[in-house]
Amino acid sequence: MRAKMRVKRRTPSGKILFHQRRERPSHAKCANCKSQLHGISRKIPSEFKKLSASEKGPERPYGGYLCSSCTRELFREKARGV
Amino acid sequence: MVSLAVGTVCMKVAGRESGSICCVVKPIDKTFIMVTGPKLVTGIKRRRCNIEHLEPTEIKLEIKEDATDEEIIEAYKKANVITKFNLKLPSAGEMKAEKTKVQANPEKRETRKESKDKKTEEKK
Repeated sequence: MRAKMRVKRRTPSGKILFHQRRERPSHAKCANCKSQLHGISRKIPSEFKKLSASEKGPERPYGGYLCSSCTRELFREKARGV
Repeated sequence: MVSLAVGTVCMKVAGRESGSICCVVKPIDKTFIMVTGPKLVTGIKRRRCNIEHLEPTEIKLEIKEDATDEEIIEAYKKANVITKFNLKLPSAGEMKAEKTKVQANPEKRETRKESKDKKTEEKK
Protein backbone atom coordinates (compact mmCIF):
# COMPACT_ATOMS: atom_id res chain seq x y z
CA MET A 1 0.00 0.00 0.00
CA ARG A 2 1.45 3.39 -0.91
CA ALA A 3 2.90 5.04 2.23
CA LYS A 4 0.40 7.62 3.56
CA MET A 5 1.71 11.03 4.52
CA ARG A 6 0.76 12.16 8.06
CA VAL A 7 -0.16 15.81 8.38
CA LYS A 8 -0.74 17.65 11.69
CA ARG A 9 -4.12 19.34 11.83
CA ARG A 10 -5.78 21.33 14.66
CA THR A 11 -9.33 20.05 15.19
CA PRO A 12 -12.27 22.30 16.27
CA SER A 13 -12.00 20.90 19.81
CA GLY A 14 -8.50 22.36 20.00
CA LYS A 15 -6.66 19.05 19.89
CA ILE A 16 -3.86 18.45 17.34
CA LEU A 17 -4.37 15.25 15.40
CA PHE A 18 -2.56 13.46 12.60
CA HIS A 19 -4.54 13.37 9.36
CA GLN A 20 -3.55 10.93 6.60
CA ARG A 21 -2.99 12.13 3.05
CA ARG A 22 -1.73 10.25 -0.02
CA GLU A 23 1.61 11.42 -1.47
CA ARG A 24 1.46 13.39 -4.71
CA PRO A 25 2.52 11.40 -7.77
CA SER A 26 5.66 12.41 -9.69
CA HIS A 27 5.70 14.78 -12.71
CA ALA A 28 4.23 13.58 -16.00
CA LYS A 29 7.00 12.71 -18.45
CA CYS A 30 7.30 12.99 -22.22
CA ALA A 31 6.96 9.65 -23.97
CA ASN A 32 10.17 9.74 -25.98
CA CYS A 33 12.50 12.26 -24.39
CA LYS A 34 11.43 11.64 -20.78
CA SER A 35 11.48 15.35 -19.94
CA GLN A 36 8.89 16.88 -17.62
CA LEU A 37 5.63 17.87 -19.28
CA HIS A 38 4.35 21.40 -18.73
CA GLY A 39 0.79 22.21 -17.76
CA ILE A 40 -0.08 18.94 -16.04
CA SER A 41 -0.78 19.22 -12.31
CA ARG A 42 0.55 16.52 -9.97
CA LYS A 43 -2.70 15.20 -8.55
CA ILE A 44 -3.95 11.80 -7.51
CA PRO A 45 -6.41 10.36 -10.04
CA SER A 46 -9.48 11.02 -7.85
CA GLU A 47 -8.66 14.76 -7.85
CA PHE A 48 -8.18 14.71 -11.62
CA LYS A 49 -11.83 13.75 -12.07
CA LYS A 50 -12.97 17.11 -10.66
CA LEU A 51 -10.83 19.10 -13.13
CA SER A 52 -12.27 20.27 -16.44
CA ALA A 53 -10.71 18.96 -19.64
CA SER A 54 -8.68 22.10 -20.28
CA GLU A 55 -7.18 22.07 -16.78
CA LYS A 56 -5.78 18.57 -17.22
CA GLY A 57 -3.20 19.44 -19.83
CA PRO A 58 -2.31 21.37 -22.99
CA GLU A 59 -4.81 21.20 -25.84
CA ARG A 60 -2.12 20.56 -28.47
CA PRO A 61 -2.13 17.33 -30.47
CA TYR A 62 -0.22 14.81 -28.35
CA GLY A 63 -0.79 17.39 -25.55
CA GLY A 64 -0.27 15.35 -22.41
CA TYR A 65 1.81 12.65 -24.10
CA LEU A 66 4.74 14.34 -25.88
CA CYS A 67 6.57 17.50 -24.92
CA SER A 68 6.29 20.51 -27.22
CA SER A 69 9.71 20.09 -28.86
CA CYS A 70 9.03 16.42 -29.59
CA THR A 71 5.73 17.21 -31.31
CA ARG A 72 7.49 19.87 -33.40
CA GLU A 73 10.09 17.37 -34.63
CA LEU A 74 7.38 14.83 -35.32
CA PHE A 75 5.36 17.21 -37.50
CA ARG A 76 8.47 18.62 -39.18
CA GLU A 77 9.42 15.14 -40.39
CA LYS A 78 5.84 14.56 -41.48
CA ALA A 79 5.92 17.78 -43.53
CA ARG A 80 9.29 16.91 -45.05
CA GLY A 81 8.17 13.40 -45.89
CA VAL A 82 5.41 14.69 -48.18
CA MET B 1 14.58 30.35 -41.23
CA VAL B 2 14.38 31.19 -44.91
CA SER B 3 11.57 33.64 -45.65
CA LEU B 4 8.69 31.80 -47.27
CA ALA B 5 7.45 32.84 -50.71
CA VAL B 6 3.78 33.53 -51.32
CA GLY B 7 1.87 30.37 -52.13
CA THR B 8 4.08 27.79 -50.47
CA VAL B 9 2.01 25.14 -48.71
CA CYS B 10 3.34 24.53 -45.23
CA MET B 11 2.40 22.57 -42.13
CA LYS B 12 1.98 24.23 -38.77
CA VAL B 13 4.21 22.50 -36.24
CA ALA B 14 3.42 24.43 -33.07
CA GLY B 15 0.31 25.34 -31.19
CA ARG B 16 -3.11 23.78 -31.11
CA GLU B 17 -3.32 23.75 -34.91
CA SER B 18 -0.06 21.83 -35.27
CA GLY B 19 -0.15 19.19 -37.91
CA SER B 20 -2.59 21.01 -40.17
CA ILE B 21 -1.94 22.47 -43.58
CA CYS B 22 -1.88 26.14 -44.52
CA CYS B 23 -0.57 28.30 -47.33
CA VAL B 24 1.36 31.54 -47.22
CA VAL B 25 -0.67 34.57 -48.31
CA LYS B 26 1.44 37.63 -47.60
CA PRO B 27 4.81 38.34 -45.92
CA ILE B 28 4.57 40.84 -43.05
CA ASP B 29 8.16 41.23 -41.85
CA LYS B 30 11.26 39.24 -40.95
CA THR B 31 9.56 37.01 -38.43
CA PHE B 32 5.85 37.05 -39.30
CA ILE B 33 3.84 36.10 -42.35
CA MET B 34 0.10 36.09 -43.09
CA VAL B 35 -1.19 32.55 -43.43
CA THR B 36 -4.59 31.00 -44.12
CA GLY B 37 -5.93 27.48 -44.04
CA PRO B 38 -8.65 28.34 -45.15
CA LYS B 39 -10.52 27.75 -41.92
CA LEU B 40 -13.21 25.48 -43.38
CA VAL B 41 -10.74 23.20 -45.14
CA THR B 42 -7.88 22.80 -42.72
CA GLY B 43 -8.96 24.62 -39.59
CA ILE B 44 -6.40 27.42 -39.71
CA LYS B 45 -8.02 30.82 -40.06
CA ARG B 46 -6.43 33.73 -41.88
CA ARG B 47 -3.94 34.85 -39.28
CA ARG B 48 -0.49 36.25 -38.68
CA CYS B 49 1.90 33.44 -37.91
CA ASN B 50 5.50 33.16 -36.81
CA ILE B 51 7.76 31.62 -39.46
CA GLU B 52 9.38 29.49 -36.78
CA HIS B 53 6.05 27.70 -36.22
CA LEU B 54 5.78 26.60 -39.86
CA GLU B 55 7.50 23.89 -41.85
CA PRO B 56 7.36 24.36 -45.66
CA THR B 57 6.52 21.42 -47.88
CA GLU B 58 7.64 21.18 -51.49
CA ILE B 59 4.17 22.02 -52.84
CA LYS B 60 3.81 25.55 -54.24
CA LEU B 61 0.57 27.24 -55.31
CA GLU B 62 0.37 29.86 -58.06
CA ILE B 63 -1.65 32.49 -56.25
CA LYS B 64 -1.28 36.25 -56.15
CA GLU B 65 -0.58 38.03 -52.89
CA ASP B 66 -3.54 38.37 -50.49
CA ALA B 67 -5.62 35.90 -52.48
CA THR B 68 -9.13 35.12 -51.32
CA ASP B 69 -10.05 31.75 -49.83
CA GLU B 70 -11.88 30.62 -52.98
CA GLU B 71 -8.76 31.11 -55.13
CA ILE B 72 -6.75 29.14 -52.62
CA ILE B 73 -9.23 26.27 -52.66
CA GLU B 74 -9.05 26.22 -56.48
CA ALA B 75 -5.25 26.16 -56.29
CA TYR B 76 -5.46 23.33 -53.74
CA LYS B 77 -7.51 21.31 -56.18
CA LYS B 78 -5.07 21.94 -59.02
CA ALA B 79 -2.05 20.95 -56.93
CA ASN B 80 -4.09 17.93 -55.69
CA VAL B 81 -3.35 18.94 -52.11
CA ILE B 82 -6.83 17.76 -51.19
CA THR B 83 -6.11 14.15 -52.06
CA LYS B 84 -2.59 14.17 -50.67
CA PHE B 85 -3.61 15.35 -47.20
CA ASN B 86 -7.15 13.90 -47.59
CA LEU B 87 -8.79 17.16 -46.61
CA LYS B 88 -12.56 17.57 -46.65
CA LEU B 89 -13.90 20.26 -48.96
CA PRO B 90 -16.61 22.45 -47.34
CA SER B 91 -20.09 22.36 -48.87
CA ALA B 92 -21.45 25.49 -50.59
CA GLY B 93 -23.74 26.17 -47.62
CA GLU B 94 -20.79 26.30 -45.21
CA MET B 95 -18.94 28.68 -47.51
CA LYS B 96 -21.95 31.04 -47.59
CA ALA B 97 -22.34 30.86 -43.80
CA GLU B 98 -18.66 31.64 -43.34
CA LYS B 99 -18.91 34.63 -45.68
CA THR B 100 -21.88 36.19 -43.88
CA LYS B 101 -20.18 35.58 -40.53
CA VAL B 102 -17.03 37.42 -41.70
CA GLN B 103 -19.04 40.40 -42.93
CA ALA B 104 -20.95 40.55 -39.64
CA ASN B 105 -17.82 41.17 -37.52
CA PRO B 106 -14.85 42.20 -39.68
CA GLU B 107 -11.50 40.50 -38.91
CA LYS B 108 -9.75 43.74 -37.98
CA ARG B 109 -10.23 44.30 -34.21
CA GLU B 110 -9.02 47.57 -32.72
CA THR B 111 -5.66 46.69 -31.18
CA ARG B 112 -4.72 48.08 -27.78
CA LYS B 113 -2.14 50.42 -29.36
CA GLU B 114 -4.74 52.08 -31.60
CA SER B 115 -7.17 52.59 -28.72
CA LYS B 116 -4.34 54.08 -26.64
CA ASP B 117 -3.42 56.54 -29.42
CA LYS B 118 -7.06 57.56 -29.71
CA LYS B 119 -7.22 58.36 -25.98
CA THR B 120 -4.09 60.52 -26.11
CA GLU B 121 -5.53 62.51 -29.03
CA GLU B 122 -8.76 63.18 -27.16
CA LYS B 123 -6.77 64.46 -24.18
CA LYS B 124 -4.97 67.06 -26.33
